[in-house]
Amino acid sequence: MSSSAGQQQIKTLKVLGEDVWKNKVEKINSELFTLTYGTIVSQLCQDYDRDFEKINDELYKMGYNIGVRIIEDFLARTALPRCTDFNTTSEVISKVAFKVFLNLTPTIANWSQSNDAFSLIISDNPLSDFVELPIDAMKSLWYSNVYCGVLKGALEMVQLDCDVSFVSDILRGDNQTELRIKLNKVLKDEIPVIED
Amino acid sequence: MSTDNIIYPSTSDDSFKRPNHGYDYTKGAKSHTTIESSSINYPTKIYNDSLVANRKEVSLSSMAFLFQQMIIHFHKDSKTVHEFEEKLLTNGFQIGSKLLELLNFRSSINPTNSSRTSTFLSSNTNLPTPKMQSQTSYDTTSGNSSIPSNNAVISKTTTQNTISNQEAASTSHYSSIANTINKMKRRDLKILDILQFIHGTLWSYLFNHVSDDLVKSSERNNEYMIIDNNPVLTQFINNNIKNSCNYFMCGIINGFLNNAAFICKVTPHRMPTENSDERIVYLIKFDSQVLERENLRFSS
Amino acid sequence: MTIYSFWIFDKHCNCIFDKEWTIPSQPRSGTTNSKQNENVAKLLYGLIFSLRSITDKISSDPVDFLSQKNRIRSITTGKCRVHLFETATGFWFALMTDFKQDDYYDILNHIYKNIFVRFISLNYISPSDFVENEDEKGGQGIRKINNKNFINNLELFLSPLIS
Repeated sequence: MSSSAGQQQIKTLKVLGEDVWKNKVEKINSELFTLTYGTIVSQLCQDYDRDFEKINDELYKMGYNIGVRIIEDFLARTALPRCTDFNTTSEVISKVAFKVFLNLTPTIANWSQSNDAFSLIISDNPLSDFVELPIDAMKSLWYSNVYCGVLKGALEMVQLDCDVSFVSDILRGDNQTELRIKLNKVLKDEIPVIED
Repeated sequence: MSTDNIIYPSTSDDSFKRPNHGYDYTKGAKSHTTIESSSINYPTKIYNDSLVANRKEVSLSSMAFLFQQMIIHFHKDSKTVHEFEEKLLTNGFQIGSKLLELLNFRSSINPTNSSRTSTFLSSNTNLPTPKMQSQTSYDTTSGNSSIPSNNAVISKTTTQNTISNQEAASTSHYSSIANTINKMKRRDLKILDILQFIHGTLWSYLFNHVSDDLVKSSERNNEYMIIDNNPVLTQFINNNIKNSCNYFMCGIINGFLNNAAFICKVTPHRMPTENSDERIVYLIKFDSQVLERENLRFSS
Repeated sequence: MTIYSFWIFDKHCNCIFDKEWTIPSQPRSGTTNSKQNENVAKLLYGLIFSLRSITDKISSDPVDFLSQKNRIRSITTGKCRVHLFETATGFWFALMTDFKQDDYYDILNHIYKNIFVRFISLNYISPSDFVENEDEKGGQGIRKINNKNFINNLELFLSPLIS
């Protein structure tokens, strides 16, 4: 589906992502990030008594709260306008957003027939460096569920109502870490209410 | 006699304090499996990952947002400010104790060996001649853990001489970094030494620069201070719980010190100067037994 | 270069911040979030909104999304000029000035990046969404930015520009 103009656009986005990462982003040791996230998850396990469904929800909510704010930070750094189609959105998320915040470039795969859903395959997830899940968590915990919340919140602020969820996770013994993003609808911009 | 305060030796294993948890012959063997300790029956890759610092970075925004969400969550769950601070302290503590082990290990990896570590992390280059490894000196003082591993290296290298270079290189891909350690960093036994380690190595690891100052209090013998002019993690939090959020960093220092057998309490204090408005002083109060031990050992 | 006023609108058609400088030589004078400006805010919003929808319809589709849509940069009347900056999340920043300068894009960009994002978005105490229920959408909301750091930094930044 990608024409040469599309390829050019992808390249521009990639260059933009790398440029912003190199020059406009203050960086911090990724292991501190990993360790902090680890204590958050283990504190949640304690607080919710190992009810992993609740923990997944809580991580999602935390991610959502991060997402609605991180989008402003993202736009301030990259000055990107709203995307014209979902294809472009996927490229922006993968090549710019993940690169600017996590220094990752997940691969885009598994486009649905109607072009409204795609998967992100994350290799080398910084949150799960040196993490090993216990057996009971392996069955129901999505360790990096915070990513789903962040993407949902951020996309909602640019008027894209999406469902984001994990499909597979290396920590659970699967082959790869895969995130699925499905567009439900494009939210309409509000218009002022007409008073009499 | 039982009311005397015993000065405990500086070992990190404090099971001697609880003599009841050994084998109780009246009860027989205890089954002690927790959920966490169930056997993992799938291969986790974490044991193959290299422990050498790989200098991966993420953006400060991601860390700041994550930290903020952690603050919000803990704040919601705590009924009092003290409880909130305790939670942050406990969580930082876990991180600090892990960092103690990790940073000590990494500082034992001889930096001149870095060419060697890079050769065996890439599987295409040849191993350096095995003879060099066996020449690593045994003049080092006793008690370091590298001697057994060097022995292993020697026996391995003699067999490797007979293997082709390619095979040797590929087997070396999975050999452990511990084999390159000539001399394991000794545990810091003096207060000043370990504080220097925090001021220098720990701070550079966390924030890419050494901490702004390390000061011994002139008033009290057991108080030391580490100063940070611009605390990185709490810089975006601007309200009245800002100082409480510094307890996380205190927890890291606390965990680091406690697990190195320097029992202490760490608290943050905001002390702005003309140059830095956000200056934070981490006050470390060592337990009296630590000072007694230091006096007994090192006073001449 | 005289700046008369500064407005921020959010995606719910509400004016979440306005500041008017009445005495040009004193940057700290003037009103912030005053009630009298509410009607002016609504009129200003309506003006920007209508012109924006018209220009959207007039301009042809861009080749790729990076060459941005034909958006309004400024609106000039007999007495003043309104400069606009909008973000993909639906925030509009409007600066009402005199005619000395053609384009205030950089200034508005700076306000967004370094003042708004720093003190409002990154600050978890400040709400990220200024409406709390359905009634406040569509231009009927009343909540404003009251964050002192934001206001102080804004004044500090704009004061050398107000002469």
